[in-house]
Amino acid sequence: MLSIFDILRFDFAWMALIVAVLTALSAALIGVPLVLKRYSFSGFALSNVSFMAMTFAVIIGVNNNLLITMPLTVAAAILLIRFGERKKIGGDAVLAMLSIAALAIGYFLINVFTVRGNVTAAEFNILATLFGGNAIMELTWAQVGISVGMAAGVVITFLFFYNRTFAVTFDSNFMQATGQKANVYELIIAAIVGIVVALSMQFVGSLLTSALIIFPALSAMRVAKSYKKVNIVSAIVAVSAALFGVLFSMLITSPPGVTVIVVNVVVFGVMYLVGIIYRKKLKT
Amino acid sequence: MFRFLEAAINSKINVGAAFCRPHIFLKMKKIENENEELEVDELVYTNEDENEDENDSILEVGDLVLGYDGKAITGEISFGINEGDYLCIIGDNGTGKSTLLKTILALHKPISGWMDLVPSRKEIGYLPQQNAVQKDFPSSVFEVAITGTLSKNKWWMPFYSKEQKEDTKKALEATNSLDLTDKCYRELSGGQQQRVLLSRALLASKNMIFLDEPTASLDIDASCDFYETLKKINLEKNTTIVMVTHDIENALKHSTHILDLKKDGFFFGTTKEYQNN
Repeated sequence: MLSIFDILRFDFAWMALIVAVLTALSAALIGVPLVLKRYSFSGFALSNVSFMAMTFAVIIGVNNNLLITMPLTVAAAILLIRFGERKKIGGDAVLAMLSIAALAIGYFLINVFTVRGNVTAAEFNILATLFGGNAIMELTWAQVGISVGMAAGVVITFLFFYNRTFAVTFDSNFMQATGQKANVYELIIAAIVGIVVALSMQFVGSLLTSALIIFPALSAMRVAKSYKKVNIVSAIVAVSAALFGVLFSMLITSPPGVTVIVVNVVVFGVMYLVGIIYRKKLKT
Repeated sequence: MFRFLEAAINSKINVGAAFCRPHIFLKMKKIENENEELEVDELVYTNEDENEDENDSILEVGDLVLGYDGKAITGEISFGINEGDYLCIIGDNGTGKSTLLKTILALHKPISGWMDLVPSRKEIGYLPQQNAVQKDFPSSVFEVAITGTLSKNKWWMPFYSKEQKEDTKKALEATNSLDLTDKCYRELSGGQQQRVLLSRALLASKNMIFLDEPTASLDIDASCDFYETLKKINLEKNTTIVMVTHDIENALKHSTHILDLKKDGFFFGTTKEYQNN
């Protein structure tokens, strides 16, 4: 069996680690307001929309799928999160409908076009798109550059609006009543969620993107008691799970995205127990 | 001018007619699309050419009809208060108390009518009803309270200054909750939470705060305590208070004015007038 040091001699391993860590970090940061606003399931619905957008991109034959998936996912995110609350389209029935419809339409289109002889559709790997596969191990430096740029943009925007997203998540009515642009800040949150979903799809696959977003935040909420600490713990959990998961997947040759999520699930279990013990200790 | 309005309402003259000055009187068009952005700003008129300084009018509402989806739930409501007044809005469920408050705060669109809120929106404080999200929100008391100072930040100022942090401590002190500063907000009692939200409202406001049933979920001791704190703020800082409440006993005890919304009309007057009625 290879050791970690053998693997790290290859460029592809470093590229995979960089993209995995940055994607996980941006997903974890935006996950905190998303989970607190009770939009976890919207994140899941969005990732299915992202899958559908991916099939469009494949059928058209676009080289860089992000060019299609990102705008479509951002648009869907804004519709769902920003306007969902007001028009009541955020209800669970609508979310379930949207998720299933997007999955079905995507799969339907791919099959129809494969039969009709569309070359890119015939080469399309459905399983890898749904569950991530090994795409992250086969990146080019150009792709890494795009991911780094996007992730950096997400992190900087998040830090700049940190206090405002907190205020809006806690109480958007108060923000609006005191003359602040609560709508704009909610729009920014929605757009970031869309970007993160599209970004993390190439890493963990469309079915599992929302895990990358919600698990670190949920783990952090078990133990942290202030918003700042939740964000810090969430970021640490996400980055270390990504590092550990990707390296581990290289050793046992499992799909990296899925491995990272399994690590996240285990971390959540541990944090859950720690949270219970911590609270019991406080009482005694 | 204001006394005239008050008298007009009490004697049940049509206030709309008494107030019919074209430059501030505005009948809103029927709302065609309630999902449009709230643009209540266009409803707000500061009529500087009128000589009203003598009675420091801070809020006037005229012929305001409230409703949802284009359907009216109230008749025309008119009232006005001055700086330093303590107004309690009372009435049965479904008479539109909270909707009135939200309409004044531009969170909700009225069917028709006008209003004149003198301070800008960045100079008012608001203590809304608690929502489900807040009950399980991991944040410290300080983090919650300091968001009250955010309205003073320009858009390019993303972080809090030292001054804002010190103001926050002072505001927490004013509501006797300085000892809670580092506690977790969701683990506080209902009364403590309301005192923290009151600090936040004070931080946002210069001299006017709106409260929506702040004592609804509190026990008697906590709610008495809350009313005392509020009265102190009202008297010491001459802060105008507009509060929706179910608690008629405390409303009568502390307020200077009462607005009683009923299914078929409303009463507005000083608390004394209300008690004599």
